[in-house]
Amino acid sequence: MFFALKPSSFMNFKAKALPYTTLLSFILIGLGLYWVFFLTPPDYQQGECVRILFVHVPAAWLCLGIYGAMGVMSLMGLVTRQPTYHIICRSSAFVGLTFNIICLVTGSLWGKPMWGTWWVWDARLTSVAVLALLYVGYILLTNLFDDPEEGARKGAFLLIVGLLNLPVIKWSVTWWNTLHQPASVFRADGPHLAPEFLYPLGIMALGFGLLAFSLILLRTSTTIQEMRSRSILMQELRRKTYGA
Amino acid sequence: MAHNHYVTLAYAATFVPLGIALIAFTQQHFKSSRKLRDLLPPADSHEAQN
Repeated sequence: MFFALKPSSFMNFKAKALPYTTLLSFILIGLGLYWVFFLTPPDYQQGECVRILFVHVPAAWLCLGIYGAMGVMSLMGLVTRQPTYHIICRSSAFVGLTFNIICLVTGSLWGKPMWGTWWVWDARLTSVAVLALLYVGYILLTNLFDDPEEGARKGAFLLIVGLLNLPVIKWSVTWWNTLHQPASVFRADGPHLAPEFLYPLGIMALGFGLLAFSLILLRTSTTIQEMRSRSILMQELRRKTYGA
Repeated sequence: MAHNHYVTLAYAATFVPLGIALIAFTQQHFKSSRKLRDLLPPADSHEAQN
């Protein structure tokens, strides 16, 4: 399970995958938007506001999924001592935080007309806000140390401890009496959504997932290139200073 | 579809940050590629970037 991921292997993979994942994400999001705005009827209770859920729900799934993947990669980075895993985690944090903020903002924009309030301190909303704080904490912690390896290690521990928040988010609507409705898609007895809503939601989620994956590939490869440039500059500086 | 400003705001709040992230990350990527290419001897530059 714990395999070594070298920066060169990552860059090879990125060069092959990035054009396809980006293009496919654009196609799927375009198709999803067409379906959401031209083929999906308004909901009998929520009216037009149901269309907000086609961006809110994928953003929520992604901020949870990216955090979970970061937790697993941190563990792999600690075990294999390969810096690539930590670099991917640091790049993913920005993308995960973006989707987390999108989830909170679009949720508020749905909550105001549906619940009559922008925000309530209910278990689901609060635990998702805590997830955003974990992302911010991780970004700050990894940038706090002069030694990037030290920062990556400390950040990895924070990520792994923060994984405890994921089941709380998922089952908060079951464990506590919340204003947020229970799960409609990932249920033991199957999705409770009409096909008119389920299919475009799936397409949007897939499109957003591929876009997030492309952004992470792009950001990670940039960081690897910057590290290489810094290493070459340091070598030149050493050669000029010591004449070796 | 009837106009609803909550929907408009939600889609703007989604696609504006994602668009900015995509443009900023792409610009940073090309900038770092160029910098690395300038630092490397011509024979190594292609291999090193991959």
